[in-house]
Amino acid sequence: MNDLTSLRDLGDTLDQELRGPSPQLRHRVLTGIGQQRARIAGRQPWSARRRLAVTGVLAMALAAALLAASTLRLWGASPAASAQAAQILHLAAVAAQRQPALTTGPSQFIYVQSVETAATLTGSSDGRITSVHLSTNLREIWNSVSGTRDGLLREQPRSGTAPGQPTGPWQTTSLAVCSHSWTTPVAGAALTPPGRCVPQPAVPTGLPTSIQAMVAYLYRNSHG
Amino acid sequence: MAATLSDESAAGPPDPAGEPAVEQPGFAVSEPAGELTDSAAIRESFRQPEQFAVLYDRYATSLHRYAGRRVGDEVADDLVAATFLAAFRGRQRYDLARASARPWLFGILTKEIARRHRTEKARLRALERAWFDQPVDGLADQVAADVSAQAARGQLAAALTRLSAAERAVLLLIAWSDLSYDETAQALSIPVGTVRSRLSRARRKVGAALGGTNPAAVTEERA
Repeated sequence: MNDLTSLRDLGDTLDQELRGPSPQLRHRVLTGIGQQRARIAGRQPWSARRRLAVTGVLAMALAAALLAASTLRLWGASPAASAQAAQILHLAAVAAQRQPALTTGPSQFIYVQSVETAATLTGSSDGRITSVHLSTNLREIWNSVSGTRDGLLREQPRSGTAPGQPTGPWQTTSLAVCSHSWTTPVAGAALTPPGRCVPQPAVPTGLPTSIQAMVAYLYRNSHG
Repeated sequence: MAATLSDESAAGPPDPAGEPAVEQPGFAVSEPAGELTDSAAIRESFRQPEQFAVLYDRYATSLHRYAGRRVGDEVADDLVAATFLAAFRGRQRYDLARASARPWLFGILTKEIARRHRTEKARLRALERAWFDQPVDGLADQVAADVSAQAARGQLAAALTRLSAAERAVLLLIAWSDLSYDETAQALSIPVGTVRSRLSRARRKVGAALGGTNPAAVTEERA
C-alpha cells in the first residue's frame, strides 16, 4: 500500500462519520444566492420589481392581518429583518399555527405594523431609468373590522440604512369610511360615486385555501 | 413616479460593479437542466440566477465530503455554503471555455478551508490521538491487522499535520477529490510543475512518516 492508497483508505474511514450535506443546506445556499441577487435588483426591469415588491408588501400585510398580531418585529434581532418574502410568509404560517384562533368583533380594529420602502424613479424621455431614490417609512394602521368605523394611519420616516432610526415626526391620517361622500377606506380601493358608501371590512373573507389559488389571489391583488 | 417596494428588493441603487441584469422576479428554483454543462449553467445564471442550482446539485455532495474529511462534518455545511456563494459572486471571472466547474469549485473550497487551518490541524491531532488510543477487540490476527491499520491512520494524520498548507492542499486534492494534476493546477491557480513538485515533497514526507517507503519508487497513478 503506497502513501496515496493509504490516504484514500484514510478518507474512506473518515467518511464513516460524515453525514453529508444537511437537508437545509441547499435551501441555505439558494436563499443566499437569491439575497445576493436582490442586492443587484436595481437593474431589474421596473415592472418585474414592482410586481414582486407590491406582492411582498401585500403578503406581509395579509399575514399580519390574518394573525391579528399586535407587532411584527421587522428589525433589531428579528430574523424577519433580512428574510425574503417567502421566508416571511413561511415564518408567519408557522407562527399562525402556534397561535390560538382569534375571533374579531365588528366593533374592533385590526392593527398592522409594517415597513415600506418607496422608490422614486427618475426617467429620461426614452423610458430609461436614470436615478432611483429610496425612502423608508414605519407604518401603523388601524382598520375597522366591519369597515363601518373610521380607521387611522400613522407613518414615520426612517433611515434607509438603519430602519430602527426615526428621521422625522409621525404623520397621522384619518381613514374616514366615506369621506366627502366618496368611499376611500382602504388604500388602493376603487372610488365609488357619491351616495354609495360601501363598507370595506378589514378582515378579508373567502380567502383561497390552496397554494395555487393563493398565489393567483396575491398576484391579482398586487397592482395597487 | 413612486411605488412601494418590499424590504427585500430595496437594497439600494443599481450596483455599479457591472453585475449583469436579471429578469425574473423572486427566486423560484427550477429543476436542474439535466444536460447543461457546468459552463452553460454558469452562463445561463447571468440571466437566470436559479440555474446556479445545477452546480449545487452536481457537486455539493463531493465538496461536502471533501470538506468533511478535512475539517469535520460540523463545519462542512458552512464551508460548502461559503463556497457556492463565493462562486456565485465570482462567476463572471469563470472561464466559460472550461466545461467542468469542478476544479474551480474545489479551488474555492480549498481557500475556504485555508481560513479554517486551525480547525483542520486540531482535527488531525484529534484523529491522531484517537487512532493511537482506540482499543481493538477480536481474534489475534484480526487484532494485529486492525492495530496496524489504526496506527497507520494515526501516523498519516500526524504527517498531514506537519505538511505545509500548500503541500496538504495539493496532496489531498489529488488523493481525496480525484482531481488530475491539470485540474489541481487550475483549482489552485498554479502551474502544473508546481503541483508536481509540491506533491512530490508531500509524498516524501508522508512516506517517511509511514515507515520510510520511497514514494519516488511508486508509479504515479495519474498524469
